[in-house]
Amino acid sequence: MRVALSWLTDYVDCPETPERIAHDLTMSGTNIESVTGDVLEAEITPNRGDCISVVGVAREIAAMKARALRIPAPRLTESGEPAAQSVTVTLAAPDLCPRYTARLLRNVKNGASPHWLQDRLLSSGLRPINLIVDVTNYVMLELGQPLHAFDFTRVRGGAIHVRRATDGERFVTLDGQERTLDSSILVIADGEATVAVAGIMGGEESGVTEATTTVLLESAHFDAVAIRAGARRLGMNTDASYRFERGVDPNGTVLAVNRAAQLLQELAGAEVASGVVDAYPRPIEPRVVTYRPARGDKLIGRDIAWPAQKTYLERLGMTVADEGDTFDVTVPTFRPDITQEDDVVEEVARLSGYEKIPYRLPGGGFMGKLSPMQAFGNRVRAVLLGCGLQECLTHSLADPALLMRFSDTPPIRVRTPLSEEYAGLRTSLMAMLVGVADRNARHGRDELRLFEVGQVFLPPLTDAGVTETQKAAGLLCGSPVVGRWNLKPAPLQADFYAAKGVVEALLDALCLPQRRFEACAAPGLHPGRTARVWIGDADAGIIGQVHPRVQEELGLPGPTYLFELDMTLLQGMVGRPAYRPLPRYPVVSRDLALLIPSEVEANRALEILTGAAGETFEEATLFDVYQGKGAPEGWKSLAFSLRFRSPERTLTDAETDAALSAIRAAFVAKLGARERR
Amino acid sequence: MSDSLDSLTSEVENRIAAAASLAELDETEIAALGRKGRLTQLLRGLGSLPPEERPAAGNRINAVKDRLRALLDDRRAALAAAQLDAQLESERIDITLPGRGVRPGRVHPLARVFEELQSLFVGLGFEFVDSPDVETTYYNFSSLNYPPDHPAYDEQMSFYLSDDVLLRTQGTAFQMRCFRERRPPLKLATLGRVYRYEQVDPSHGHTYHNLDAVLIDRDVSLGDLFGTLDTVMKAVYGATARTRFRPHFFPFTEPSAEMDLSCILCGGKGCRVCKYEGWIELLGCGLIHPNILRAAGIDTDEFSGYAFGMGPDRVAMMRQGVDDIRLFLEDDLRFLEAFS
Repeated sequence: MRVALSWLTDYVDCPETPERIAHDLTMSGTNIESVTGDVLEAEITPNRGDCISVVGVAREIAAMKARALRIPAPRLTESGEPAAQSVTVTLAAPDLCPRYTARLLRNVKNGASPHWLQDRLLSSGLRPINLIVDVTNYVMLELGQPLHAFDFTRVRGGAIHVRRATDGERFVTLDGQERTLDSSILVIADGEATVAVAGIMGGEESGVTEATTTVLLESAHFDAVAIRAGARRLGMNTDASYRFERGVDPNGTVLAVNRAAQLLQELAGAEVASGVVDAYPRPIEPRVVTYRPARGDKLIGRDIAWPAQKTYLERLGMTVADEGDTFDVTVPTFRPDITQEDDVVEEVARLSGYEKIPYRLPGGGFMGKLSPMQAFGNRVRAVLLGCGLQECLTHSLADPALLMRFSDTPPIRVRTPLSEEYAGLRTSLMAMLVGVADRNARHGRDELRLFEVGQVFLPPLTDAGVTETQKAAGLLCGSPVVGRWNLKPAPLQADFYAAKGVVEALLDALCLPQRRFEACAAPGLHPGRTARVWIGDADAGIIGQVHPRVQEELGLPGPTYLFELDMTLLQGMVGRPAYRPLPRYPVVSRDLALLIPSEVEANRALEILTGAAGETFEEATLFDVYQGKGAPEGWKSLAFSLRFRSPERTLTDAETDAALSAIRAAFVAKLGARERR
Repeated sequence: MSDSLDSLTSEVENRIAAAASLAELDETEIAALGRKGRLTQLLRGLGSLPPEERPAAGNRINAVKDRLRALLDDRRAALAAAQLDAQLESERIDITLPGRGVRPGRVHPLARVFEELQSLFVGLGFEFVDSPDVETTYYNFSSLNYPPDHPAYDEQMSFYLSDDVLLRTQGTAFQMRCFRERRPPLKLATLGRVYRYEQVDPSHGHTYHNLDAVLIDRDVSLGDLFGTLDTVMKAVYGATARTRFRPHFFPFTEPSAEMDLSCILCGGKGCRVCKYEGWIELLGCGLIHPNILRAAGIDTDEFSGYAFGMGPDRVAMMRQGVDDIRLFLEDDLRFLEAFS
């Protein structure tokens, strides 16, 4: 809201410069966003409808500076037939319109407004139209009470009915637009039809023109919620609706209508009919709030003398009955925001000055810690960073089509997406990282090592929300090695095993040795190069190569490998490192090379080996896999380095030889294997 | 004989000193001390001396032999060292060529701020709790004292999934979830994403982050709130950062405040970034609204609480001079690698 300092000084003394008073208003809660000349641009918070007026802001200055507030006290001369004989008001929806106040003005000479009035409207951002309309706008700006002027000759039967619109009713508003109304919208009707949308905009037909001489001035009180709903329904936001939505003083209607009548009498020679028409069946009384100044001190964090607290409240227009430890505070009806004790605390706090409150760092008694998932996430991140993966943070909202490339489950969609690119809640981080790779490939990045730790959102959507699961995912493409100026071709090109190596490094770091990798098929991944990660009976995640067709369709820079692990699951399983005492007896090492059928997985060979090796067997390391020239067709060679050790004695050669023989025999028996010479 | 021993000694000494290679040194040794060497010959010639002269002559010859051997060892070591030096010199490499290996990954610039804020708040005694991104309108609005007709519910401002479920619009949504499960005193924080239906531009993303914190204890005041935030700001923006608080309005706090931070670019003197005000409007805070505490079954005469929320994205932007919030979740490697 814009307000000129020169206008404010009609109601309160203000010798300060505009910049100075802007600062002081800001620090007491009326945020002045900018100052242009002597015009202040105020940001009025939604609870302070009373400040959407020049007098409202003047009241803040008066309260803050302990100065007198000069509220207009209109004096006017009534004449002619009493208004009540010409005008009847019926409140058909008193819940939505508790009060309807009006005055009838005769022989109004409409025309252009005087310059001072036009200037004030302009300084507040309103366009002068004609004297009658300008005066209603002027009083709205001055007092915050929206007014409407009807050409009374167009109000059939002199009857005002405040009622809900009928469903599907069509009505042309002042701006010439035809609107379709419904029963949620409050209207003003005359004896025959709707003449205004209550609190939002008048009608074209009943509006004042240059030729208007008889005016019915409406100064009504409408329910904030009803006006907000109606304005939203119609897609309208007017100066009137803006004020009604934020709350207008129900007991300010008479002052406003009198003020407008007085101005029109002075400026347009209006004859003001006797009497105010005022339908107000259930007057709204000021609220009384009990306030304990000691609570104010406690919540503010500073002792403020109780008499001073009382004065602050009185300056804001409240009356305070001092009962010793408590004040009974009568809150004027223009402050509907103050409903309970702590609302009063805020008034005392802001008038006594937030800047006077001493800073205090509250003491201990609390143990700070991360949430278990945060701590776990940081642990996982550290390992993946150590493996040379760049951390990414992708959007939670994604293109459902991208997500569906790597999932059979359609993502949950937001009802009104900004665009299809952000229409679905991500179901997989792998898909998100593929998106990152895709975008970066467009500016020539063809070697990528990425990871993200974050949550995914899984159906079903219920009234309580969705299932949010924490995941860790990675993407590898190309070589990770830097400084390879004498290494050609680039070493360690990403492949399935590189991705698996990262997963293994992570599971090792989490002390989860009991894992299995099982070949599997999954959407978007290479059918022969994808594995599910099992920890015990639990599906802990997946590793795989992006399906070459998907790779081509997305234009990825090369073969791309992904993994995704279920952090929510892993967090529940993570182990502590167990200590094994250092061995006291020496190790015996032997190498063993075996020819086995090509289709047998290394894991199966290791199972046979471990099963047959006896109790002195300690560890086997696979150091060579060979298939091709030199090996018989359909066979492959596996070479293991084996370690044997006893915790009780030094092993003899004969004992180790026997263990090796047992291993060979098991391979021959189970796979028909041969030892490679 | 002594003449010939002396001349032989000095001759061998000269040859040792002059030897330019280990091979030459070997030759000299053999010629002097070898089986057929000249000193060996002299020793053998002792038999021709009278018996009383033999011990003294023998001692002299052996002493010379020992000295020559020592000289030979020294010279050999010197030559070996020189030879190694020469070899190493020939192995000289260009140490300016790039180092090799797999480098550790980079932390995302926002995650770096998260880590910093996490340790800061843990240090201040806050316990972090996780809270879902997908929220009900109850936790996101109603439980936070929003009246049922409040415009914030508007479909146009949030990403709704159904009538009553939406992507949370503020971290504050975690409050009632915690207050229902725990009893005060409480000192809690949460860090996560929030979502607003907003057309994006450099200063508005539809997805960004919130760190929200609450303290509920006996006698928690605005002074505690302001002091905590001032401490946080000095930790984040440096010891010269200053704060000021202005009255404001939020449905879920009463009294409410907005915190301004002294402009980190100009230090408060006024510049383009702070629109020549010297202050940057940074965050909202206040004492937890008594309606919320009462709804959670907390006695407002015994306990009061503060709450505030801050934006880690804003921290990263202000400190690093990033002028486009959209960059954070795009994962453009050129951007992620620009923090070095």
